[in-house]
Amino acid sequence: MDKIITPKHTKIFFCAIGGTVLGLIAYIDFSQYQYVTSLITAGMAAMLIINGLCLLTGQYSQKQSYLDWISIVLLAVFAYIASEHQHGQHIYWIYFYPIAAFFLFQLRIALLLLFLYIPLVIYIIFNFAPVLEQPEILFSFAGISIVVYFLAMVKARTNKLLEPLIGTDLETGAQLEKFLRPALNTEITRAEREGTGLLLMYLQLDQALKAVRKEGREQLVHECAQAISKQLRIFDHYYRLNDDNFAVVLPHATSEDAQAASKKMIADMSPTLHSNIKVGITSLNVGDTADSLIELVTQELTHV
Amino acid sequence: MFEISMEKDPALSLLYALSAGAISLLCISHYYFGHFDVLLINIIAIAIFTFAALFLYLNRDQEHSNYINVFTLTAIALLMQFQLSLAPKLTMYWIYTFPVLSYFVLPLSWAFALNTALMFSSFSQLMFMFDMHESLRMILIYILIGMCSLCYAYLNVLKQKSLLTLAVTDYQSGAYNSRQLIKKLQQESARSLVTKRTLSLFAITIADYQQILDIHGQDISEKVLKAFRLKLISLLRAGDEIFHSGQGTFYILLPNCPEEGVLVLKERLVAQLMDLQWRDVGEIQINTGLATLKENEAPEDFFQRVNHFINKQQKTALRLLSFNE
Repeated sequence: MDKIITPKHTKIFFCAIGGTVLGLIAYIDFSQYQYVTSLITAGMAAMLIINGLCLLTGQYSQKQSYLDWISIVLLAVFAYIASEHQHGQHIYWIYFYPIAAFFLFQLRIALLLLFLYIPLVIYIIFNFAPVLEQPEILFSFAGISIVVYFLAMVKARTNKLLEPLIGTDLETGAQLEKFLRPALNTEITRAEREGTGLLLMYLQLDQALKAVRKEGREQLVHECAQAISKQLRIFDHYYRLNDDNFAVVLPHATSEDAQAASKKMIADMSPTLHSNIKVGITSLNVGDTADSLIELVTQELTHV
Repeated sequence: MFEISMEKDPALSLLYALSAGAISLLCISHYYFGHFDVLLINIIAIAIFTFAALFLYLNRDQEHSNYINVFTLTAIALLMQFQLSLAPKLTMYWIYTFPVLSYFVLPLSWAFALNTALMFSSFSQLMFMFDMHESLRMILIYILIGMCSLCYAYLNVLKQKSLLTLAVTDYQSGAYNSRQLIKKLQQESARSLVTKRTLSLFAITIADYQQILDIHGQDISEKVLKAFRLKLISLLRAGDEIFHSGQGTFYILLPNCPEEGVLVLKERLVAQLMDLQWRDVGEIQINTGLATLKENEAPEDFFQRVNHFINKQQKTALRLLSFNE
């Protein structure tokens, strides 16, 4: 279930259902001759649908930041305009602001946005809402804001606690760079103790990926990681390094095996990258350390 | 096996207390405006929230927390339904806060069920109080707030799950976690098959770990686990990897180490560890189990074999203890 419903699917689902519900509210407003609020609601529905379509077509990442900012500003403005009409009948828009702020932005920014919004909310409530309902509306707004803040805070704390415990890169499935040196040290100790061979392979892809746009680049890096992992034995390890390079630790392997594997890896990668990929292979010698092996392998880089 | 405490209970306790405080302030306005029937309902809500806040503050059992949360929110939902018949417009504003609160407090499926029930129940009442358009609008707004809360909570759960899946380190001891052990066992048994070298697994468990946890609390037991791991590292060969199950059992993976070697290691480790005085808890009782990978043995069976040895030793230790008494 979790593998099928990804965060992206959840967002698209939210946009679709949210857009539909808002469309229905817009229709109800329209049928009651409340044209301004109907227009606002229809605008919000359209915004959600456009957001969902951007997500669906994969164009979201490049437009993400300014779409989020536009959404939150429009929500604040819409809440004001909608509340102004029909004697505060549509004041419920103010409840969506804290949810959207914590949903779209990081904790600190969301909190700042909420604090900036509070004076406007107080103005809206005490100017447009019926007097008897004002305390209840204020209580509901405060209640929703506090719960959403707590939810965001628990989330931030949990992530802060868990992120240092992670060993794998989310995008590629490769292990993180911080684990390369400890793993290499372990393998060096084992190789020296058992008298077996150890190879370190370095695949320099950053030059090849330089010309590719950001969105395409992520996809290509993912494909390259798959091409690498396909050629590895179950006990080989590969690591994603800064600048989209990869290191592969190959215990019990010969240079010929490593060279053959590297050729197969490159053959499985996108042909547009082939000419710019450099590969280095180095084997363990007496007195080598993790640092010296890494330094040596970067000096051995050549086109395959 | 790999559980990480999100420490949500203190946050919930505080949240319930804040809710009780906010409703108390609201009560003043209800009194001022003459909504005495609503005031009475709000006083009951304050009592419920205060009880839940106190219970969660004092409670240490996660299982009980779930039930008390369900009880609290169900009681609040019932109060909302009752109040809806007295002051519908006013109550709808209160009802709008329910989805956010429920999706934060309860597991998603429970919260979804409770929200759906509340939605149908409210709609059935609203239909008789307002015209169709108005009641539909109110319910659609409720659905929208519910949707926002559900998606936000669901995304949080997804993120947390993916982080837990990708975590390789046990946060209590700093050793690799049991998921990493299973992965590593598969890799090492494949490697052993290729290289024809032996592979052994040695397990060492702090027999009274649960007792230490109950008596001394989370902080001290975490300190003991960390110190225990550091002591193990100092007694092992460089490069040997240590894993922790999360329940006080450490596993040491020993590649290229025959059974005799593990037996020697066991004697050495037991002798060194039994004599130690652990600063906060004094002496600790340890049990061990070990096994060497057989030909064509599956990693899971290998792992089970070690656990079987350790369980057997634990039972023997208990029998000896009762015999001595």
